[in-house]
Amino acid sequence: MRNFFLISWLKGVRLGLTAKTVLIISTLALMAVGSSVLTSGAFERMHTALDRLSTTELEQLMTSVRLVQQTESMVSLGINLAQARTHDERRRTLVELRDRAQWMSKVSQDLPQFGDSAEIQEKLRLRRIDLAENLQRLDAAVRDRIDGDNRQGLEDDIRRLAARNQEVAGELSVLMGYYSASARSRLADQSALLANEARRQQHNLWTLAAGLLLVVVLSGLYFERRVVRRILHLQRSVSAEHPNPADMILSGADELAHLSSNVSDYVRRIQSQELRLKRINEDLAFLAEHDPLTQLPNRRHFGVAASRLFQRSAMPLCVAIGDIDHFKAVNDRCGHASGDLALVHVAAQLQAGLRTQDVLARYGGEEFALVLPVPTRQEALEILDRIRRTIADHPLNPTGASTIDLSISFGAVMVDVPSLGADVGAAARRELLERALHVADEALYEAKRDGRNRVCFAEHRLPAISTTSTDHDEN
Amino acid sequence: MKIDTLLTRWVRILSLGMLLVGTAISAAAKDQLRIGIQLEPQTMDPTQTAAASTGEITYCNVLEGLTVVDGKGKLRPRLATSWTLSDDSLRYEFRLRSGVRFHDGRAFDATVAAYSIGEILKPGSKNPQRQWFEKVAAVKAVGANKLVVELSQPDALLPFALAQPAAVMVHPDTAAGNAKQPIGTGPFRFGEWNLGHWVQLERHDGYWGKAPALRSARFLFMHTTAETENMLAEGLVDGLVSVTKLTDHFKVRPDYRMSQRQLESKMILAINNARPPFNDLRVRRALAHAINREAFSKLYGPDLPATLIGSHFPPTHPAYVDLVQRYPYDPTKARALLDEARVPKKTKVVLTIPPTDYGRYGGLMIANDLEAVGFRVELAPVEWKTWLSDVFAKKDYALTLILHVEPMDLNIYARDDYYFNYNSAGFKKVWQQVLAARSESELNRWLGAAQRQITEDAVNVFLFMRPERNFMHRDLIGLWEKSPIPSFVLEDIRWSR
Repeated sequence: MRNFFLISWLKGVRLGLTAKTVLIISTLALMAVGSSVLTSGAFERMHTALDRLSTTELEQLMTSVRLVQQTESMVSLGINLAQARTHDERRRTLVELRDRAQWMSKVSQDLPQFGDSAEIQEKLRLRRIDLAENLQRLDAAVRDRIDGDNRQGLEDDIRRLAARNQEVAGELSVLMGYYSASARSRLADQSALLANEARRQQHNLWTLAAGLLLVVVLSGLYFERRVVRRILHLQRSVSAEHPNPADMILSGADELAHLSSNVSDYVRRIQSQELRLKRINEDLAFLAEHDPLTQLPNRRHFGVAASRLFQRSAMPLCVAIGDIDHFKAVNDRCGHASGDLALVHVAAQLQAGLRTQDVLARYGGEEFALVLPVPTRQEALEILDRIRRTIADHPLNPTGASTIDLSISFGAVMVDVPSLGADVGAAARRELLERALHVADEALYEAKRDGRNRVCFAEHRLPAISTTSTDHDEN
Repeated sequence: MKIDTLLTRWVRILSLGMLLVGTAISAAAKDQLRIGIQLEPQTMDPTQTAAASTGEITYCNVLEGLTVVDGKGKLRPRLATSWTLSDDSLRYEFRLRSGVRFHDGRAFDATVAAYSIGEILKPGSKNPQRQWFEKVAAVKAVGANKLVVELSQPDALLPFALAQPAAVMVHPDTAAGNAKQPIGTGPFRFGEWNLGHWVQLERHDGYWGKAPALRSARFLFMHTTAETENMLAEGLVDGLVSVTKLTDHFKVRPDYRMSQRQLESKMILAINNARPPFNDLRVRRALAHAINREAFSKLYGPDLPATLIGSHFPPTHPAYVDLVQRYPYDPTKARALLDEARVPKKTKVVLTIPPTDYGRYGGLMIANDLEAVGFRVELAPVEWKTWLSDVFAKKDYALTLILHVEPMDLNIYARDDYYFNYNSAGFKKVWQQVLAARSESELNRWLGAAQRQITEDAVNVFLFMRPERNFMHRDLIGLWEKSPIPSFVLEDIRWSR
C-alpha cells in the first residue's frame, strides 16, 4: 500500500515534526479534496446520464409510443371517413386525420437515429405519403358519394381505399412499434449502465473512505509513536525522583529530540548547581559547629553531641573538662601564634587519645570538654590519664629550635546515664549536662589547686535527674 | 488529545465538502419555462410582421420599446425614463435611459432610438403598426440621451404607440438580422430557433434592469391539436398563451389554471371584398346572416362563452356601438340575398384556415353554416407561412377565419392595400374625421360612425371577442395579466414552488 511507503519514507528522511505534520495533513487534505472532486465528477456524470435517460431516452420512448397510438387512431379515423354520410362528418374526420398526420410527421423527426434507422425512416416516409394519398382519394370518393354520385363501383372504390388505409396505417403502426421496442430496450440498457456506474461509484467511494480511514489511523499511530510516546517518556524522565539527564535524550533529529537535549542540559545544570549548594551548606554547617583553629567541634556542637550521648548511651558517662596548664604564660612568653599552635597540638593529642564514641569539643579559651561512655570511673580515669601523660611527654616543638613544655589538667565526674531513661526531655538532659560540667569544673579547680597535670574526679557520681524534672521539658 | 481534535476537524471539513457537493447537485431550483404557442411566426422581428406571435415571444423579453404597457395595464417608461409634451402639443421630448446595451454589447442611445422610429416611418416600411406614427413629422437625436419627436398634428397616443411590439428599439447594425436572431436590450437574449419546433430565450445577465427569476424560457410551436393535447396531458408544457378548444377539457386537471389576459382579440370571417361573388354587398350580408354566431361563440366550451360583436371593435371601449343584431342569424334571409345576387346553389367557396385550433374547429362550423345556405365549401388548411403570404400579402383567398389581436386596429379598414380589399372612400372619409377629432366625445362619435360603416358594408363577418386566458400551470405566478399588448412577458414570471 502506498501509505506504508509514505510512512517508511517519512521515517527515512530526516524531516522536522512541523514538516511531517504538514505533509500528513496535506496528504489527508489531498485525499479529501481528491475524493470530493472524484465524487463530484461521478455525480456530474451520473446526473448527465440520468438527465439523458429522463429526457432524451424517455422522450423517445414516449414519442414512439405516442406515434403507435396515433397510427392506430388513423385506422379507426379511416373507417370513420369511409362511413361519412354528410360533409360535416367527412370534414370533421378529415380535420382529425390531417391534424394527426401533421403531428406524426413532426414527431417522426424526433425519432432517434440508430443502426438501420435511415432505412426505417425512409419506409416510414413512404408509408406516410402512401397513407396521405390514399386518404385524399378516399376523401374525394366519399365527397362524391355525399354529393349524390351514383356511379358504378364507387362504393367498391371506397371499400378498397378504406381497406388500403387500414393496411398502410397498420404497417405504419408496426414500424412505429419497432421504434418503441428499440427505444424501450435502449432505455433498459441505459438504466443498466447507470446502475453499474452507480455501483462502481459506490465501490470507489468505499475504497476512498477506507483509504482515508487508513491514512488517518496510520497518522494517528505515527503521532502516537513519534510524538505522544516520546513526550510521555520525557515527562517521566523529568519527573523521576532522581532525574538522570542521560535518560532524557530522545533519539532522532526532530524538534522533540532538540527539546529533550535542551531539557537534559538544563537538568544537568540544575543538578550541578544543587551539588555546589549542598557543599557550601556543608561547609557552612561545619563552620557553625567547629572551631576553626583546632577543627574540633565548638561548644554548640558539643551540647548537641553530648545530649545525644545522654539520650542514647547504654553505659554511664564521664563528663570531663581539660584545661591547658599555664597557657597564659605560653601566650605571654612565646606569642599568640605559638599559643594557637599549642591549642592545635593539644587538640590533636586529645583526639588521638579518645575513642570514636567519645565526644570532644573546644569549650572555650584553653578549655576542652569531653564526654566518654565508660563502664567504670576507673576506665575513664585510665583514658584521661593516658592523654595527660602523652601531652606532658610530647612538648611542642614549633620551630625545631626550642621546645615548649605543655601539660593539661582534667576535672571529671561520672553520670549515671542508664537511669535517665529514653523519655527524658532535651531540657532535662541539658540541665544534667550543665550540672555535670559544673561539677567537672569544680573537680578541675581541685586538680589545678593540687598542682596541675593531673586528673581529678568529683567525689560523687552524679545521679540521674528525677522524673519530675521532665515536667519542665519544653518539648 | 491533540490528535483527536485534528482528526475531528478533518472529518468535519471532509463531511462539509461532501455536503457542499451534495447541495450543489440538489439545489437546482425550478427556473425554466415551456410555453405552448400555436402559430410559428416567419420572423422574430416584430417591426416587420403582422403576426402577433412574434411579439408574444420577443416583446419585453428580447426587445424593448421606449415605453411599455405593464402587467397592470399602465403605460410606463422603459428605455425612456420620462417625456414631456410641448405646449402646442406638437413636440415630444423623451429622456432616454443611459448605460443600456444591446445583448451584443452595442450601446443604446438617442441615435439608435431615432433610427428605430425612422425605420417605422420610412417609405416602403413593412411595419404593421405604421399607422400609429402617421402624425410624426420628424425624429431627432439631441445628444446621447434625448430624443425629440415632432408632430404634424397633436397625438396624445404617441407614448402608447411606442409601447407596441412593432415600435421596439433595434440597432442599425443588427436590425437586418433580427428576423432570425433578434438582438435587443431586454432581460432575455434570443437563444436558438429550432424551426418547426421551438424558440429558446436565455436570461441575459447584463440586463440593465431587474434580473428575471427564470433562467430560460422555451416557446414550443404547437401546430396541431393532437400535439397540444399530448403535451398538456403529459405535462411537457407549462402553459399555453391562449385558450384552445382543448383547454375546456384540461381545466379539470388540478395542475393547470386559467389566468386573465386583457387582449382585444376579434375573431372574424374575413372576406376578400374584391373577389366575386363577395364583391357584392348582398352576398357579404348573406354571409353575415348565414353564420350562427350564438353557436359559434361556444367554440371554447360552455364555460368560456365568447362575447359577440357586430363590428371590428371591442365592447369594452367607450366608443363601442352594439351592432350584434345588425345581421341576425337567418339562413332563409341569407339564401334570399344570395338568390337576389344570383349566386347559384352549390357555388364552390374555399375557406382558408390558418393552422390554429379555432381555424380547424371553427372552420368546420362556418363550413356547415355556409353549406346550409347553399354554398359548397372546401376547407383549405394552410401553414401559417402560406396564410401570411397568400392571404395576407397576396390577398389570394375568398374567405378566411382569422383572429385580429391588435388593440384599436379599426384603422386597417382605411388602408388601401389591406387584405380585405375593402377600399371604401366613405370609410376613409370617416377615418379622417376620427384622426382629426379634437375631443374625446368627438373621437368616440366618429369611431361609432366607423363601426357602423364597416358593419353596413358587411366588410367581414364579425364573430366574437375571443375569451382571453392564459392556460398555465398553477404554480406559475407573475404573469402580466392586464397588459393589452399581445405579449407574454417573462420578466416577473417565476415558479411559486
